[in-house]
Amino acid sequence: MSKFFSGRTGVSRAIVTAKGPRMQKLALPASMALVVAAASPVYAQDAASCEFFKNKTVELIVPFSPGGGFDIYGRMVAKHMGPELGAANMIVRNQPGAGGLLGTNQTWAAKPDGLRIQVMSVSGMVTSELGGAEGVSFKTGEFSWIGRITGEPDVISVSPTGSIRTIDDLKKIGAERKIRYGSSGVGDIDYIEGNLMSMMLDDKVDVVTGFSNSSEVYSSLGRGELDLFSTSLSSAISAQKAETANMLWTFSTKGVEGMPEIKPLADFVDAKFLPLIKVQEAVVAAGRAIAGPPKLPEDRLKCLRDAYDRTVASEAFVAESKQLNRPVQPLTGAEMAAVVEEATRAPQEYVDVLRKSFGK
Amino acid sequence: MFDAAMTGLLDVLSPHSMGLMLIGILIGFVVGVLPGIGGPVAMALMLPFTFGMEPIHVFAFLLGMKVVTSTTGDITAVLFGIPGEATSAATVLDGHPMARKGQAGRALGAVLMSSLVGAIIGAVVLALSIPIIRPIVLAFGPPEFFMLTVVGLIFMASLSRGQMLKGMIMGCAGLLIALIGIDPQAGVPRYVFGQLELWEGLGLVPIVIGLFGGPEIVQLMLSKESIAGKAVSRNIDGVWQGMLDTFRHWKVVAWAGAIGSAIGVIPGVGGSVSQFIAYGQAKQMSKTPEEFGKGSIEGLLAAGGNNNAKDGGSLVPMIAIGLPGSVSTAILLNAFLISGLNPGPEMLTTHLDVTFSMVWIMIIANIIVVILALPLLKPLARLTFTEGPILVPFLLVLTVLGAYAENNSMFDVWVMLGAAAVGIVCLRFNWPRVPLLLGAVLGDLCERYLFLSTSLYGWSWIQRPLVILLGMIIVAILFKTVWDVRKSIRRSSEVRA
Repeated sequence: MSKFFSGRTGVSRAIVTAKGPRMQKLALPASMALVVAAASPVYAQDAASCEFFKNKTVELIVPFSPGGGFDIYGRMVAKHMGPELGAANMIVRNQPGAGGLLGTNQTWAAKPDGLRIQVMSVSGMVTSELGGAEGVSFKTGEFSWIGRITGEPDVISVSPTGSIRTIDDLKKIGAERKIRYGSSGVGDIDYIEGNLMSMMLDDKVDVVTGFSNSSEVYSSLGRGELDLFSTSLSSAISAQKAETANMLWTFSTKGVEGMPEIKPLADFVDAKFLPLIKVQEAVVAAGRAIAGPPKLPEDRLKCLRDAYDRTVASEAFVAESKQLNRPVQPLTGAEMAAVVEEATRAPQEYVDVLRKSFGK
Repeated sequence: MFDAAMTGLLDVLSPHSMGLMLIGILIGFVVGVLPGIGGPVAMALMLPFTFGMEPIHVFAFLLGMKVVTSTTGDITAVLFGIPGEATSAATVLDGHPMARKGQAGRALGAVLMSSLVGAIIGAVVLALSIPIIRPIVLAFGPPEFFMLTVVGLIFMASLSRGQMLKGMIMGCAGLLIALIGIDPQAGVPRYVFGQLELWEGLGLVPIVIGLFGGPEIVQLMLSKESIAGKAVSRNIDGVWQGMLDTFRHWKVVAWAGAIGSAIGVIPGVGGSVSQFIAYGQAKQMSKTPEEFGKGSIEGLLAAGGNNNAKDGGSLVPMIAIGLPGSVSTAILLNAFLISGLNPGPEMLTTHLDVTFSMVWIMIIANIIVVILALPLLKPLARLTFTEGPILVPFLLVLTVLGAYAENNSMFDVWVMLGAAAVGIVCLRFNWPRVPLLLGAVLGDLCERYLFLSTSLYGWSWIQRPLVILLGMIIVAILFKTVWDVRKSIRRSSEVRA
């Protein structure tokens, strides 16, 4: 049972297609950079340092079992990034255990030579680090960030058979009994969101744990046993299609592009809770990303970052992500590092919620 | 609906689908035979190869591979006493004693044919349930799942007949093993001793391989003889006889198939438990229960018939509401989403042909595997006459690889070796191993569903109609077991008098 990151580990149910405009935005600077670089002596230096990867095998660690959402993203990136980096091979190695902590702790302690990088479950890492979860031996901000793959918003759904359609409906139920918020595990993102909702609804929320993965929570929501559950947008879309969920709000300050029916939670709660929603939004936006161990040599990190940027901008990668119905919202390594920094600079009130979630 | 069924069949029979299914079957055949490297691992590794394929082609390849591993896993279980899959453990109980008696051919024939019949039962159940699939799946919540896990636990008693106390002690030990890891309710680590590897509990695959395979390998090593070394008969021609046995004992196979399809529906329980429930049920119905565990053809048929039927059952909640019942259906679900399909009402309306294609794949793949395996059975059965010292190194390598492969973890190899030590002690002092395994699998589920039931319903879950019905079944099974035990005690005291 993955307790820390399993909100993002279970069966990933991605359906949303790749975001075109973001890709174009990235593609342009990347290609310009190449043109500029080719004409400058810096390029020669870069090329020389990237020579290191030639004839080498780079391992991309996926800290979860094969066949899941993380694994598919990892294989998609490895397939296209290996050639961009000029490495002989980029292979995916699954290192599951302790909800992703096992692999992440090992990458934290690995030799920073650029030959071991990892697909990170960043939101889970940030919350378990800030919440003081057991077994965490890393500092999320100190990893060498190479780039983000996805950072979908989280969406709160209600039971399609229930009567909840507005926040007022929720409050009405809260006056009669506790509102039931499903969670796939103590300390998971959905558990934290359940606790945040409880704060915003005068302690009227009961977070129900014991489910083994998000599919099981959705089936319980579909049966009408639960009132609320939150997951990534693509999982929620999938559940709505399976008629086990009805999406109502995003856990954020802004709505979802092209889906006006999903309203931002920030519009309905007391203004004093806005900082909490904002930091949760930032934590969720950290999403899934690629990073190496801390203190990766600058030149090798630059090679990896450049190769990653070229990868996610390449037509082949974008086409594959569309074909596989895997949404991508890439960020560069530098942007990702900034996102992680913002997420880890959480207000004390939020840290207190996390610590409570981890039983501290 | 008939149109969709026919379209599904034609799609499956297209050369492209059949070609991919054959490749899947060949891969499934090999990995199924190898202990530990089972269906889920093979499917996960092959998933990237399906990127970009049409949905029906994906399922022809992956589902074809999956259903075959269940059958071929039984072959290893019969020949070497090492389950090729975690779901083949019950096949070891009677299949291997038959091999030891020199009846490997008959056992393989029986297991192959009962697997086919079981698979057809599972596929038919899936097809018939299509119109009512959603209400059925939604009718089963945590309280009903809890009661079904209790049904599984009750079978510990009938599986330990003759050594009830030992069986109960082993079952409790299994329940204690299930406590290892992060507890599902409060997130507290239990009995992990600071080891992150233990957070998710002990792996089922290394336990099964060690518990059943370990003692067999040691026995082979020590005896220095072949598996069927002491056998009186050397009949490797019994394949047809074994196949006929399936129809001679058709009631056993039908029951096993029905149990497999029903239990397969329950998320998390699936094949690792339903095999023992089917086995226990066959033992209770049998006129010669004392033969069970010593090479009973009925026991073997129950295990074989159940094994493939559960695949049909496990697809039901996945298709209906996107709830995977097992690790392999979770991978299939990912294949669904990758190929642009969405579980739920779509699968019962616009994509009904795809749903039916899965039914056909299960039937056709199983028929193909029987045809492919038939000429191989005799040579395979001959392996039981190969000298132990030649076989042992291969078996050792395979068991270590099998334990390692699921999580790329040396820790799992140590777990397998620990389980092997327990298995050897159990065999030496005649303690039953099955209750230990049942307890280890069911403990976690039992705990989770009980907590969930009370969190969601308070104690009112006890009043749900299906819970009451399952409660009555539990009482009836207990009553029957006590009745049978008393009868056999009376009979043995009469014999002594």
